[in-house]
Amino acid sequence: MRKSNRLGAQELYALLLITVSSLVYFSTPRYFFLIAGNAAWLALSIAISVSLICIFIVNLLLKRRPGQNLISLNTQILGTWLGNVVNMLLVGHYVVTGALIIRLFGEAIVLTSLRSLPVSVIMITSVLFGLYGCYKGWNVIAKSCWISLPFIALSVFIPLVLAWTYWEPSYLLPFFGKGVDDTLFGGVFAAGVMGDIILTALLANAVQPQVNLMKVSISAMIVTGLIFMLVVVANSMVNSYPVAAYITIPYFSLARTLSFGRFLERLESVIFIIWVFAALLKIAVMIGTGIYVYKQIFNIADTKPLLLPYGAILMTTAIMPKSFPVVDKWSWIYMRSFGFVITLILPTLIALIGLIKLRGKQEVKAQP
Amino acid sequence: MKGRFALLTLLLLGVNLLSGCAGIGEIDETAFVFTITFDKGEKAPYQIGTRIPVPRLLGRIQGQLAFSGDGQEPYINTQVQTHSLAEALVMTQLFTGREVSLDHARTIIISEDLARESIEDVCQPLLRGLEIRGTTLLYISRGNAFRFINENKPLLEVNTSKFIELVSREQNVHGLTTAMPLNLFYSTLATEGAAVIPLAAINETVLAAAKAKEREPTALTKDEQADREAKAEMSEEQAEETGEKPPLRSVGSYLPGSIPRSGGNPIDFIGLAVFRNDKMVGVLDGNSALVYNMLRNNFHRTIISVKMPRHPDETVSLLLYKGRPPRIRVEDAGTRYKISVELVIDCDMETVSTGDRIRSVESLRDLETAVEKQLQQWVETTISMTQEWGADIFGFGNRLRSAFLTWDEWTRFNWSEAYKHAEVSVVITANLRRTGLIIGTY
Repeated sequence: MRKSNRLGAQELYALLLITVSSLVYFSTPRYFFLIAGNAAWLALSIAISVSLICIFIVNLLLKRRPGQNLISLNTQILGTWLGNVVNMLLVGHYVVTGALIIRLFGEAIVLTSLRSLPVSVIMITSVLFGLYGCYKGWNVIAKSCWISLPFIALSVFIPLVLAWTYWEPSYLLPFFGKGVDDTLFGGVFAAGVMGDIILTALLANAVQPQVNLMKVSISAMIVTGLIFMLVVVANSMVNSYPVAAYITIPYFSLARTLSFGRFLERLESVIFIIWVFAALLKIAVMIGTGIYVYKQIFNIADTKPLLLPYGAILMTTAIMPKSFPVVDKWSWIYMRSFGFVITLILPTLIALIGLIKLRGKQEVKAQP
Repeated sequence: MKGRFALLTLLLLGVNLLSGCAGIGEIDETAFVFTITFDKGEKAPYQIGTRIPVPRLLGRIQGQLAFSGDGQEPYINTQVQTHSLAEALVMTQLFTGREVSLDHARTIIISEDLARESIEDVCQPLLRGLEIRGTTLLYISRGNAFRFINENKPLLEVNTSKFIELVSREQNVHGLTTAMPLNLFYSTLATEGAAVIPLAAINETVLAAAKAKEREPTALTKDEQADREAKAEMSEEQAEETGEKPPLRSVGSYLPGSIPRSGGNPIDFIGLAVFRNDKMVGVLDGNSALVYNMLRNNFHRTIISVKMPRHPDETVSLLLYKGRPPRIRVEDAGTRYKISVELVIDCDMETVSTGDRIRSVESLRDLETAVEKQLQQWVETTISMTQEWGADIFGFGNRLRSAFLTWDEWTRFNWSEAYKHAEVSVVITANLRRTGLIIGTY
C-alpha cells in the first residue's frame, strides 16, 4: 500500500543518481588521474566496486529490518549513546560536504563563466535554493530530480558522444598507470567519492514500503559508476594522462574542445546551465540529509525552524577556505579519508555487526 | 501568495535574459582580437601582436556597401613588447580605449625563431585562460609573425577569422598541410613527445610584385607592353632551343613562401613545423605533410602527378583518396624496433595528355606502380627525416604502450631514442579505380 508523502522508486533513483554523479562536473575526475595516472579508469572501477560491496552489505541489513533506516539501526545495534555519536558524525559529515560542495560550486561558476561575480553571491543563492527545497520537503526535491534527470543525462552524454572523434584509445595504456599499488589502494580509498550512495540507507523510512531498496541503490550505483567511468575514459583518450591530471575541471574542458565545422561550437554554455541545476539539486540533497539525520537523532517534529541556522552554519563553513585550490584539495582529502570512513566503512561495519546479531532471527515484516 | 510566487519565478527566469550583462561589458565597448602573434622580443621576452577588427568597417564591407573612403583599414594590427599575453592585453587596452577580449581569437601565429627556442611558455598560459579556446588554430610563421598578419590580405574574405577557418579546412582537399588546434597540439606533445603545427609564410616574390605594381605611376604604354611580351617570347624560344624542360616537381614539394606563382594574397600555407618536446626541430614540405596525414589516418584526398613509366616525358595527374585506414605495426626485432607501414590508396585519373597510351589494363597497372613508387619514396623520406630529429610525429610509439605495465616503465623506455634507430618497412598499394569520362584520345 502506497503511503502519502513518501518517495517512490523512480524519485529515489533519480535523487541518488544526481547526488552521486554531480561530482563529475567538478574537479573529482582529475584526482583519479593524479592517483593512478592513465589507469584512472582502473582506480575508478575499484572505487565503484568497493562502494558496491559496502552498499550491498548495508542493504542486506535494511532488508532484514524493513521500515527502519540507518539512523535508527545505528542506535539499535551500537546502543543509544554510541549510535548517536555515529549519527552525529553523519550530521557533521553532511555539514562539511555540503559546505565544500557549495564552495566548489561557487568557485566553479566564477572560474568558468561569471568571473566578475563575487563567489559569496553564488554561494548564498545556492544555499537559499537548497533551503527552499528542504522547506518544501523530500518529495519536491526528489520529483525535481526525476523531472530534470533526462536533461541532465543529455548534458552528460552529448559531450561524451561528440568527443569520440578525438579519442585515442592507446592513451589508456600502460594498463596499470602509476603502478599496481597506487592504482589499487588509491582506488579503494577513492570510494569515498561515491559515499553519497549511503543516502538509500539514511532515507530508507522516507521511501514507500514496497520499494526494493537493494535494487534501486545497486542500479543507481552502477549507472553512476558508468557515468564516472565514461567521463574519465573520454578524458583519458582526449586529453591523455599528463595533461588531464592538471586540468582543473576536466569535463568542462572536454565540452569546450567540441567543435564541428563552423556551426557547432561553444556547446558548454548550453550544457553548463543544466550542470548548474544538477549541482543545485545536489546541494539541496546535502542540506536536506544533514537536517533529516539531526531531526531523527533529537526526535524533532518540525525541522523548519532549523533551516536558517543550518544554512548559516553551512555558509560560514563554506566561506572559510582561502581559495579554490585549498577547497579543492581539502574536499578530495576529506572524501578519501573521513568521507570514506563515515559514509562507507562505518555503515558497513555496523551493518555487519547488525547482521551477525540478527543471525538466526526471523526477518521482521514491515509495518503496514 | 501564488501571485507573489509566480512573480518571483518570473523574475528569477528573467535573470537568464540578462546574461549578456554578466561582466557589465557591452559588445560595442569591447575590442575582439581575431589573431594573436608571438615573436621574439628585444626589450622583453616576447613581442605580442594582435589583429582587432573594426566592426563598423568590417560590417560595411561585408554588407557590400561602398568603402567609406577614409582610407582606414578594417583591422587594427598592434604589437607590444612584454612578458606575457595578459600584460600584452593590458598594454593594448592603454591605446585602444576598449576592453580587449580574446573570446573570438581564432588563430595564434608563432614565429619560427621563437618556436625553435621553446613553445611551452607560449602554450601553457593560453590553455590556462578562460577566453582562449582549445580549438584556436596554431600556425608557425617562417619569418616575423606580426609582419605575416600585416601582409595577410585575403581577397575573397573580409573576415580573416573566416579566412583562416577555410584555410584549415582546405587540408581535406589537398592534404599538403594540417589543422592543429591548440588543445590537440598540447595534448599530443605532452603525451607523445612530438607534434606538428602547420607552416605559413609570406611569399616574397608575390609581395614584391604587388608592391612594385602599387608603385607604378601610370599604366604601361602600348610600346612598353609589346617590348615585355617580346622579351617573354624570346626567353621561351631560348629554352626550347637549349632543350631545357622544367623538371617534374610536385605541388607538395614546396615550402611556404617558395611556391612559384604571381598575384593573389601574398601568403602561403603549406608544410609542417615539427616539434620535439617543446622545441621546433625541423620543417616538412607539402609532400611530407601528406604523408603525415596519411599515417595519422587524417588523409582525405589530394592530386599528384607521376611520369608515365614507359613514356617518361609524359605525365599523368591523379586524384588520390583514402582506400583503407593505414595499418601500422611496431615490433621488437631484438636489437632495434621494426615499424611496418601498409597504406592502401585509391586513385582516379584527372588529367592525361595522351590517353591512348593507357587504354590497356597493363598500362593502368604501370600507373599504379608509378604512384606506389612515388608515395613510397615520400613516406620513407619523411619517416627518415623525423627519425633524425627523434620526433615520432606519427604516433608509432603508441602501439608499444601495451608492452609496458606502468607509466614509469614507459617513460623510462625512451621511445624517441629507440625511434631514431628503428627499421622501417613501407608497403604501398595503389588501386586505380576510375579513368574519368574520357578513356582515350583520338
